Amino acid sequence: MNPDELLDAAAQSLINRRCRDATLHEVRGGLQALYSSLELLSRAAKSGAGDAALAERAIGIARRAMANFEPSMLRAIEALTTHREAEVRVNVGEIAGEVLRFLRNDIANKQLVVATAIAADAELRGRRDAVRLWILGVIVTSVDSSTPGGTLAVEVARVANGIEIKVRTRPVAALRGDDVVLAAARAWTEAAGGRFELATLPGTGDAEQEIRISHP
Amino acid sequence: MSGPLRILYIEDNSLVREITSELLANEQREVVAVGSAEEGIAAFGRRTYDVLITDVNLPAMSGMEFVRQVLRDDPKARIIITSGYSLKLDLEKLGPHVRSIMKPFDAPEMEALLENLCGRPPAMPPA
Repeated sequence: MNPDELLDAAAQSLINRRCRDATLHEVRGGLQALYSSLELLSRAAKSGAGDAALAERAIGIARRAMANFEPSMLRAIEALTTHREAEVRVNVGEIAGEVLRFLRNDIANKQLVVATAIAADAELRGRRDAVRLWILGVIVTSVDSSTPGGTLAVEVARVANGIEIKVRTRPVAALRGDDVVLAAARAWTEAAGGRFELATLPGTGDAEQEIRISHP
Repeated sequence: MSGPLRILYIEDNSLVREITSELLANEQREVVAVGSAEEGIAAFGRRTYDVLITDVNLPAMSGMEFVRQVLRDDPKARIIITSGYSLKLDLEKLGPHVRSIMKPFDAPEMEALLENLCGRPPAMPPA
């Protein structure tokens, strides 16, 4: 394993541990329809001599629930594993949107107000899995460092030389550990000729933190 | 409360929305189910509901933003938040009648919560 791969693996491992609950949410949400179809089956069995039509319907719903569950499991597995995909055109705004949705419960737990300005055409060339991991790393670090009730602003823009991503949190409590995750994001950005900046503007209970990534 | 219990249910997963609405509805309950917080806000503005049930994870506006908006208009609204893992925030700070339930939940769990919030005996037969 070369140093880059080692950094990838370390970042993935930290993200997996940190995002365990968000991944569980995906999986448990997928199980809900299955649970409810069992309840319908139970009602069918209890209704006098049995309700064949209700039982049929419950079984149909259970089949659809299982078919729907497979993609959610695949998404979870994809999020949990490091893999070396080929480089393609990657829509960064789309991934940022997916990541924000994936982290909704974390954002809810912190009662953060989210503001987004995401360009639809902000693309770069790279490995989709790596881009997702570093965007997830940057946003989850920002969520963790924010103060409950604060704001999280995510901007993805197309600029002259590529794309620019800004993730701002205000007020910020403290930049929390998981430096490996940010180090990995920095390494990926700089390896592609981009720039990674982390700025914290000091203040008493009102500091702002901004992570800015410029990527060709 | 008299008359049927009016429930507004917000869930973006169409299959979960369909089957959970069916399980919740009966002659003592009316269920209006929608797929987004925005539709929920619109439905909430059109008529009065006794209970709101919402998923946290919704496509545009989140379930929590929806809850906050509703509580601004009606601080005593009865709300059940469904989530794939336990919410760590202090629900009592949101409102006196806000509860949460973890997915996947079964009917008796939801029944117990509805009874706790609305003070009515379970309308669904126990499992």
